[in-house]
Amino acid sequence: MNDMSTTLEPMVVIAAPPPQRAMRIRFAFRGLLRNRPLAAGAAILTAILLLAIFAPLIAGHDPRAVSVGDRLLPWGADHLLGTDMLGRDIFARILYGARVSLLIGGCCALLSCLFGTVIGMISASSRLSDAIVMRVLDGVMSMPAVLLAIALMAIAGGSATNVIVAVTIVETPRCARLIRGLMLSLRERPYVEAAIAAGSGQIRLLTRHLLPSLMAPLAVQATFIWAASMLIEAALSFIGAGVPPSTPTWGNMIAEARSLWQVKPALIFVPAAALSLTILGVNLLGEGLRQAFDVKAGR
Amino acid sequence: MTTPILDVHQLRTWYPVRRGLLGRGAAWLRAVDDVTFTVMRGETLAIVGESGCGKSTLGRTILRFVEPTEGNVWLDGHRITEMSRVELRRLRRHMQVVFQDPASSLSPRMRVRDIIAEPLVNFGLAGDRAAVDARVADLLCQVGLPRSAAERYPHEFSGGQRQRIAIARALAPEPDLIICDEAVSALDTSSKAQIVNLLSDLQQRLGLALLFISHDLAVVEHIADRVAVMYLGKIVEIGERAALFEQPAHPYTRALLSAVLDPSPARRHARIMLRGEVPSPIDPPSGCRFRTRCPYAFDRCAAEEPELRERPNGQSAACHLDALPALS
Amino acid sequence: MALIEVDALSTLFPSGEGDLRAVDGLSFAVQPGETVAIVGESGSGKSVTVMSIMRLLGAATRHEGAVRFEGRDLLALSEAEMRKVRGNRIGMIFQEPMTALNPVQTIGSQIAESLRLHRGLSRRDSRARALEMLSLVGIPAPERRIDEYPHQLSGGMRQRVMIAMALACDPALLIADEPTTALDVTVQAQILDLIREQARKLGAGVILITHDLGVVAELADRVIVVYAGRKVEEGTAAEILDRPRHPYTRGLLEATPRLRGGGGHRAGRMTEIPGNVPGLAEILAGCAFEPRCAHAQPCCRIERPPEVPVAQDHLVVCRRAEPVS
Repeated sequence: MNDMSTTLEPMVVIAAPPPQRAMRIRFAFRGLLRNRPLAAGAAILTAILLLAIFAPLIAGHDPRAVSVGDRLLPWGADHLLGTDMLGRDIFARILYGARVSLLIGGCCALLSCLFGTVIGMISASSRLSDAIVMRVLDGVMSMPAVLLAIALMAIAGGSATNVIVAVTIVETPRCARLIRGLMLSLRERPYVEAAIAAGSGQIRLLTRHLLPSLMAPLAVQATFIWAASMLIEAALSFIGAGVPPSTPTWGNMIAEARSLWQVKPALIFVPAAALSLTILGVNLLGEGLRQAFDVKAGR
Repeated sequence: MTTPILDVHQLRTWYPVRRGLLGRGAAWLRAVDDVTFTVMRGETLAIVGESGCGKSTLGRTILRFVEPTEGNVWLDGHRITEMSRVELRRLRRHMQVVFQDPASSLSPRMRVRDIIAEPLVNFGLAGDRAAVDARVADLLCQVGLPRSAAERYPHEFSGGQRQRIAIARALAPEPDLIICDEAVSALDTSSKAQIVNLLSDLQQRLGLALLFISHDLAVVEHIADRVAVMYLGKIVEIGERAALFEQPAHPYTRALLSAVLDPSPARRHARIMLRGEVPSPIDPPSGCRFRTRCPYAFDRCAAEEPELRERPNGQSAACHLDALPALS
Repeated sequence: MALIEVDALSTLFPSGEGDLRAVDGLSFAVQPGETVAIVGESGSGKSVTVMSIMRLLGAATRHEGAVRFEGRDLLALSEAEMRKVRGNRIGMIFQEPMTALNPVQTIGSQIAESLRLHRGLSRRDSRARALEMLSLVGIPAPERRIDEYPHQLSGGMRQRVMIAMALACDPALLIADEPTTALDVTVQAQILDLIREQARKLGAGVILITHDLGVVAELADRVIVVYAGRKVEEGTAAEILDRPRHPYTRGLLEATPRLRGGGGHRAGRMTEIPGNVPGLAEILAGCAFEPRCAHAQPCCRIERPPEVPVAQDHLVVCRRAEPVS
């Protein structure tokens, strides 16, 4: 009966030796490929990004070069996707338009998340600041982005910077709310209290324990803002309140093609398709990130 | 063994609770209500009680995760209540904590090495990287984990192993006191025994004091030198383990002891079945708080609150009865 | 005839690295009026077993074997037929009543719901029956409590409501998954008494899932000890608790904290089982307990141990066990 008695040193069984760093990275990479939305979204966006970056090399034409003799050419060898009513190369304009779209989307996402995180953290830091910041944010959030942007354009004139400012003003509160909520719930986690017991100061607590846990939801939120801001940019350009018509953007292209779409539907379809594809890519990326972080959280 | 490392004096932690839609702070939840005790160097004091008795709030107040409403706590002669944040941070080195659920008390995104090294870095206790690594390896060895564990993440370990990691982190700054808040309650039977043994071995080897908060009397009997029983925010009985387990002086202690189930059919004993459940700490019963469930309650219990009085066996109990009636 | 007969049940969760076998060829039967405890630690597959019986696992889960209950194989039933079994013929008590009860529905309507669904009772009759059930499980002032929400009740009261729900349709089988683990010790005994009494009144069979051998001693007639998804020992409660034969069962019993009641020095070291429960992904060709077993022999690692009857109604799955002649 007693032959199962006390053992002095607990024997600990660990199944396998820890994988080396290179192995671990390879495992992580394989894991990413298995996450289909993430892989698809990343592939689409990388392709578009490369096309945008190397636009001058690929386009073969100046997107602004007007050539009245070449108006409304069909697609062909010289002009891949044909030309518009001013004889400008559509393919070149699409590529250069991608630059504007991605730039505006990226800037909006980055700035909104940055400001949102800072404001959210300030808000979560004390009850008083929470009350003040949250009421202000409620006010800002009640403004529709497009209207705010139109008002801003009316005052300051249309430019890419103003589009970014307008979208950032509207999207920052959303981000701040997300961060505030997460901070409040994270602070109650035992591992945060454990870190305090281990002597972590405020800064270390923030950078080592809180921020890493915030990155996941923040990245997902960033993709939403990215997609939303590209749509807003296109909408603003379409109604003529966005980036000046001289700059090739997808919104401008759609706007200009309005009167001619029955003559040449490609004028609208090509930029619209480009916009849809990019937003699809961004949304897939967001979904993929969400899944990737969920898996980790579930373990 | 003779000087107190922790001295808790008339500690109260009350939370304001809203009643209805508008009434703010109209009532108080008396989680910890006038608690006094000391823990000696190298001693284990167990705090036992059911959920809602305030034992966890007590631990969290001592750690100042929660601000006390009244009263004082001294750690090795330094008054923790009243301390500024900066002073407190320095003092935390001497007072560590092990939580109930190691899955949530270890940062999921940090490697075991960094988790254990954190207090070393924060308190400036280790020099260069090599010194930290050596100390981490030493700590892992002390808690019975292999060196290779350092490079892994917490989720790669079982519950018992994770609790070993949490203990290694608590040991890292060489504290005088470790507060174990239900540290073995979430573990499986076989790892529970391992961790209890690990804690008592470490305590004997390092001369640690433990404040062992638990609801499990059978575990407490294996690790405690002294035991304090809490009910609705108050200590109802406190004393040496042997005296308290053999001859409980408070009816609640007796009921708790009799409620412990034993797997041997031969050891089934007469059980005191308590009526109902623990009342709300927002408006506790008048007089003795246990009277609503006490099998021996009489008139005086509702009118007058019993003080902790010393008993012949050495323990103190807050009960008007000098001796409990014999069990039938 | 057995009330429920689980025959070589395996539960497989598909994963990237092949199927994970959470339950591995488990067989047992429950007679009417009998309480059978399935005992094991976390990861032993005890909860997965009852989830498989109730068919509550996701569609991706694969099952092997059979679960015969009232003449039918539950694993082969359609989802619609299965719905008629759950909550009707088989009642279930979960560990955490707070999460198992709907927070936005009154307790009365939650009990009445299954009665209307399975018994076709009218609103009025089902409410009357719900009231009856609440007083049956010992809830004071049931007329007032029936219209309250779960958060207004204490933990013990909530567990009583769960029991009332499980019993409402007079089930033939009651499954209790760690029914007292989330409760305080002084409430635990009350709830165990209630389950025992009600099951006896109904003549229902009970499957009790627990990690606590103290609860087993309190409630069970027969015990099945599981480890890593496999049965390691089965027998009457008295046999298993008094004369355990499997090294794991012995270890578990010795590691269970209990009051010594003795004075003098500290009660001293607790008895440990060294090592850890194997992960689901580990492939175990031989005995699952072999890596932690003090008596393991080389062949234990290679070959699955046989089921050895060591006494009347006592089965040990171990190579070292000596059969009764």
